[in-house]
Amino acid sequence: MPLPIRFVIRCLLYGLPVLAMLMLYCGLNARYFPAPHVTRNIAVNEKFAAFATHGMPAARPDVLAFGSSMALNNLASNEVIAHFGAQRYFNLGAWGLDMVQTCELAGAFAERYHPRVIVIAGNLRDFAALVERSGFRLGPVMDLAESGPGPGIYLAHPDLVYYLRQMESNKLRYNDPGNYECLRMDAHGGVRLDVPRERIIPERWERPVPGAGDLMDEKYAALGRLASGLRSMGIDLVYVAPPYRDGIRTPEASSAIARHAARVRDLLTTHGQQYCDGYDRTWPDDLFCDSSHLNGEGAKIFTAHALARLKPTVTDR
Amino acid sequence: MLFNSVDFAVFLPLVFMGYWLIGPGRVRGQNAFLILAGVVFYGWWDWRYLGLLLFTAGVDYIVAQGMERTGSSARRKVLMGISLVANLGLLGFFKYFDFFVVAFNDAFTLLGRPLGLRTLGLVLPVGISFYTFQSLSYTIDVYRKQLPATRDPLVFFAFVSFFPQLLAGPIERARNMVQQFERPRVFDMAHAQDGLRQILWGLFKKVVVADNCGILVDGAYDDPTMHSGATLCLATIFFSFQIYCDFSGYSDIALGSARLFGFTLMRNFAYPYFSRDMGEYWRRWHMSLNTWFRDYLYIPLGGSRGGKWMVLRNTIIIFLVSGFWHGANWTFISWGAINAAFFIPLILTGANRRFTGPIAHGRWLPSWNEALRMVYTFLLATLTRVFFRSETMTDAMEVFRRVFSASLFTTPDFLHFRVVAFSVISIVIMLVIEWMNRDRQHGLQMDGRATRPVRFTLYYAIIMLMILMAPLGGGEFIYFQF
Repeated sequence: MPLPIRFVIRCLLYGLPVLAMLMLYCGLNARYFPAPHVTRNIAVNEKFAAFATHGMPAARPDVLAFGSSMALNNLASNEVIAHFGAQRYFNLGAWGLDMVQTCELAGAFAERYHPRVIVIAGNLRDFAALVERSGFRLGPVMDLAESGPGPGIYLAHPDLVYYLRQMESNKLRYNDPGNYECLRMDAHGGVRLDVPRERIIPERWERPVPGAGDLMDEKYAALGRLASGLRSMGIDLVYVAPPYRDGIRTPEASSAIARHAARVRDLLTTHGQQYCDGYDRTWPDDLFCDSSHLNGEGAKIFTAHALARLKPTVTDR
Repeated sequence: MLFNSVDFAVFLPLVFMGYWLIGPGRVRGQNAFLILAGVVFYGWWDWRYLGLLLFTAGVDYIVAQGMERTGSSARRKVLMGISLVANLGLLGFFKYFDFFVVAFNDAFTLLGRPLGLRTLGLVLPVGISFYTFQSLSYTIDVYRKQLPATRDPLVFFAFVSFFPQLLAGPIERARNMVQQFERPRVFDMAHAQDGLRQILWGLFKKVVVADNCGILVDGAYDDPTMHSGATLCLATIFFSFQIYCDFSGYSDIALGSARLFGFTLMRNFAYPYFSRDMGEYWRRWHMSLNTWFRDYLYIPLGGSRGGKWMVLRNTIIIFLVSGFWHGANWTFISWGAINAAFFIPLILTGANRRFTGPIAHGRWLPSWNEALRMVYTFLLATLTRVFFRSETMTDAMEVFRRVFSASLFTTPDFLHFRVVAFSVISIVIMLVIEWMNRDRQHGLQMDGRATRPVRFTLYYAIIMLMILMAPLGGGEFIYFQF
């Protein structure tokens, strides 16, 4: 047998223990094994896989929440369930989603599952062009949400390096509420963030409210289209605007927030949908993990406070 | 294509099999296959810049043929000039055009006559600084009649586009490589196995040490005004390890990959952090570039022949040019100047070649004197890295201002404890293994030093460390930007 072939065979044989080690390692850490690499957004992958593993597709959810980390972290599940009297609620919020992506997902889920109420949580940043969002195709995301993380979907998205690295990161994400990337979901997909004072990142704590010039018309238009589409399907849309902490709300920021709120409220009420925020009270800094992410206690207070201001929804009437 | 990617993990075995299936007797076939592999490897990054690579190689091939055929020294000079203009012109245009436009604009604005010249926002084609220098070494050697021009274009194109060292060196000398492409390659099992070990060692240094350190360094250097002197000081030390493990890791993978194909590339690093002074350090760091400058710039400038002041002048020129080679930024030029400043005392005292032998020869541990010298040399090299890593001179000055302030004595504010722990652990492992094998070509060359079970346990442990400790988002090699 030629030497190079013998060399390759030897490499393969010596590689077998590596394969065994890998399998052992993955077996030992199976609970941290990441969701299929369907999109570049880790939170989206985890969230939509969790939707399936929590049995939601079969249960037919009656209340669904969407949005960026504003929905993921700032909507307290128990308060949402209590308010809507929901039997089957799931929070599909994931960090890194902007308003266009949020509306796209909400629209697709509305068509497929026809829930009673859709809640969207967002702030100015979700309407801004400040950060580059990683795009994704809706089809694979819907498939993941419907069928869950089966072997077929992993084989369709093979990326060993990604899975190994994410598995390590998930040890933190799944366990540490003090990590801004935390994905320790409750039974309804909500994630409580509790970043201790000493771990708060100064840059995030001081992150300002986006200015009017940063906001993009196309993102408002997407929300308008969704509001109209859901109305025609008989689904209530509730838009919840989590607050910025008091310490960051300069007069300019407050005025930008007010203008934005008026614009979103107009968009929704035109189509018979509802808007709520909590700016009729103060939001002290100790309820926050940064300028806009509430801690667990803050999320509870905010969710109850904001939803209490809603008119009864169509289905409640 | 990145060495630390799945793409490369598939590409390398495929090329290996194809290459040896062609058969050792079919040199031209193998060379053609290597050119194809080089084109795919380079085009994987951006196929649009393949034309530049082929242009450089094409010009230098034709020029060398011309020099070989003509007996006229004037004509040889003209041809050499064409090669210099083509190579350095290309490099200058892509790498330095915008820098000079900004510099001219600033200078004329200061004089009250703004020029309003526009920059082109050019993207630097990856590897251009490396392959132009490599190709140039060929025409210079042919011009000097130190090397006959090769008639076979496949040999020359394979030499320029040889994928293991195409993107970030080692910058090979034509004298070393061209003949390797001309003669039949025979597969040597021991050679290939050692190549594989070297690849493993390079990967460990890159994906574990460099990528973990990189997270801490980026966090501190992205905005130095947000961090204390203690954080910036530690980040700079971590950067020293990051850049060493990143670049020497790349070189190890390049050398190891080349060995799989029966080639021996020149060594690029010889454990520079075990140096006892800056003279020794510079003989062990990025050796292929430094010897390139020695052979093609320092010696033509007069080298050491004209007395101490000539040596001094030429050394300063070499360091400044080396800084400028790294990038069109005052930070790199300052880095070169400071290194020259550290080198000058050694020249003046005639001590620049004081340490040429192995360190702690025949002993397990260095003496106190050697240990202190190593630490001192490492700290000097680290000091210069502030300029190398900073985006702007203002940032570099801010780092120094903070490091030399009371905030140096505060607790560093690194956010990722786990990354700090991984960085420190992996640095210690890397230093211990390299120290044990400092007389060998790479860290895992342990034949005769450890039994087979011990060696294999170490290899598997390293693979496990890579699986466990490689961070997210580790990516490009630092030297791709040059």
